[in-house]
Amino acid sequence: MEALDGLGAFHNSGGPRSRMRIEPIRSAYLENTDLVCVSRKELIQFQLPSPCPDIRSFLLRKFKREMGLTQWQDIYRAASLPRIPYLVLPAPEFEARKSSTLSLFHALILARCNAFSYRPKGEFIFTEQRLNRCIYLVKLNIPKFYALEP
Amino acid sequence: MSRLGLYGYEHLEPAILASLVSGDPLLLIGRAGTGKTFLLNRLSQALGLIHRHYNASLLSFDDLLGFPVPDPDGRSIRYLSSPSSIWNAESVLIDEVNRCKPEVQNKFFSLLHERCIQGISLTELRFRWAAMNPIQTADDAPDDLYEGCEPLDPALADRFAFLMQVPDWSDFSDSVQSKILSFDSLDDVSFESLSSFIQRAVLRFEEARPSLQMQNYFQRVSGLLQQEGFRLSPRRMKMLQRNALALHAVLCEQHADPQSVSIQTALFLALKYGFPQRAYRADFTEQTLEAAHTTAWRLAQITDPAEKWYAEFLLTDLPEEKATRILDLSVDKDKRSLALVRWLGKETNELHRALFCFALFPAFQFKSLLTEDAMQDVLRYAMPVMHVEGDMEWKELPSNRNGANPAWAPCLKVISDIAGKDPDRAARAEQLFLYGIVHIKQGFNPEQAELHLQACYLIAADFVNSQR
Repeated sequence: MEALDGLGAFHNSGGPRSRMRIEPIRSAYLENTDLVCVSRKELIQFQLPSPCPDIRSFLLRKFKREMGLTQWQDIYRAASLPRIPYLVLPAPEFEARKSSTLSLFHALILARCNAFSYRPKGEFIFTEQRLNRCIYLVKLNIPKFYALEP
Repeated sequence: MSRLGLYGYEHLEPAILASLVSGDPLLLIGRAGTGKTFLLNRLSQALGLIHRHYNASLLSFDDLLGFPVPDPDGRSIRYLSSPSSIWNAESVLIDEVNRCKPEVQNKFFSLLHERCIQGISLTELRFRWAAMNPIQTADDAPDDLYEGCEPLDPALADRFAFLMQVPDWSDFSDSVQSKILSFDSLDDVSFESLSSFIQRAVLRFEEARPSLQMQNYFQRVSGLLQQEGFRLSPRRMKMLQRNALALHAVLCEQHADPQSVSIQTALFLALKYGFPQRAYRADFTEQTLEAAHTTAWRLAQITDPAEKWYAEFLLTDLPEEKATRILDLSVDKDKRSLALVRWLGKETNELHRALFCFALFPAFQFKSLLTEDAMQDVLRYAMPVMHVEGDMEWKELPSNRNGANPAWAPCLKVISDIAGKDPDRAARAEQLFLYGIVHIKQGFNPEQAELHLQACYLIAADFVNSQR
């Protein structure tokens, strides 16, 4: 069969046909060790309990229990969230598993991150999709990105 | 034209008259029997010219020159003039110009462009005209197939200042068809006013100078047509400008109130009837010219630098040209952001958009060049390149079981070609290609894409370096 494969010997005979091949691809430009253009990289992750019908109330309860904070203004003040924009890159799952960092503050950061960036003045959006993530906050070294001499 | 006995040619009249005013070469293109030759012969008759009419398919070049004889001193050659030789001609018509032998065709270059032949100037020659059948396409009906017809050599076509397609019977209205059928005598024809009209228009033409607006227009229109794949040579640009001046002179002479004649009409007619590809390419449409004209005219009107920048940014096609423009610091941040968001939203070339954002987003961040919303838009297209995650799918043939994706092979070649010289550049290319393979299913040219990426990257790098 192998020898005849591709010779047209099986035309109209139910012989081997073309098939779709699928190959998973993952390539993170900034993980390339030859390209040292990242000046800061933080792993940020959070996991909500499932189900979690009221995320804000859940977080407020947690902040009260762990830190004694009951008002959102106090929580935001205590959190001292990053004041500069960051890029958001998905972190591999194994990174999340091996890390023990599950800070409540990460939930706030994640609530401010869309799919691509953390915006220091961005709105807090508390959704499962935003909070149940494991991401890297990345600060790019721009001159190095462009291979410029220091 | 109707005074010359030609009906249905009214729309071509300004351009034909303009060719008489400028004295630049004119080419008529049309099916057999549409009156091309008739028109040109009648023009010479109307202007009282010594006229020569040659059929290029039958012509031997010696027919133009006459019989060569040595001078009495035996040091040079002169040509004995015959009734058919070109020496005293004031107008010449080369019929079937796309049917002649290439060696004869080549000799027309100097005749058309410089009014000389064999290096000898034809001092009496005022008008150079030619006619040809339309270029053939595979879809043409049998009636439209002309034996021996070839698309005109582009270099020869570029020597004609005016090139126009003449109408066929089916293009005429009922009343025009009736006029043609009832016209049976040339005696009715009046020529009286043509010469004086041309003289007046020539005076107007000789005094005319191209305005800055006209120059702007032609610069824009050439760029727009270049983007559509139609190159206009520097010679052509000069010709188009002359055409426009001649057309404007004609339109002013035709109009009772010359002040009300719009230069826009003259510019459009100059472009429409000065487009050389008409003689050798079947893949252009009148709509292409109309769209280029409309946009170029609009751009030529803009005097506010910010508006001009905005329009030019949107019209620029190449990512690297957009990169240069978007990094112009004289542009207001809001204007820059607005232009960028608008382009990103309407760009249909996904790879151009992706590589542009990938190469430039750090530069935008470096100097906070964009509003926050615009920056988000840029990141939306840049980050999927920075981090590619998805499936590469391809159809595997029975003859190539367990082989690699065939679309990846040309990408790999580009990467390996540059990896030895510049590994960082190769890494960027690989990242872009993986994005393309996973997200852009319809295929792309990796070599071209990499060149665009590299050009954008270098522009952004220069910018960041200059701003440190």
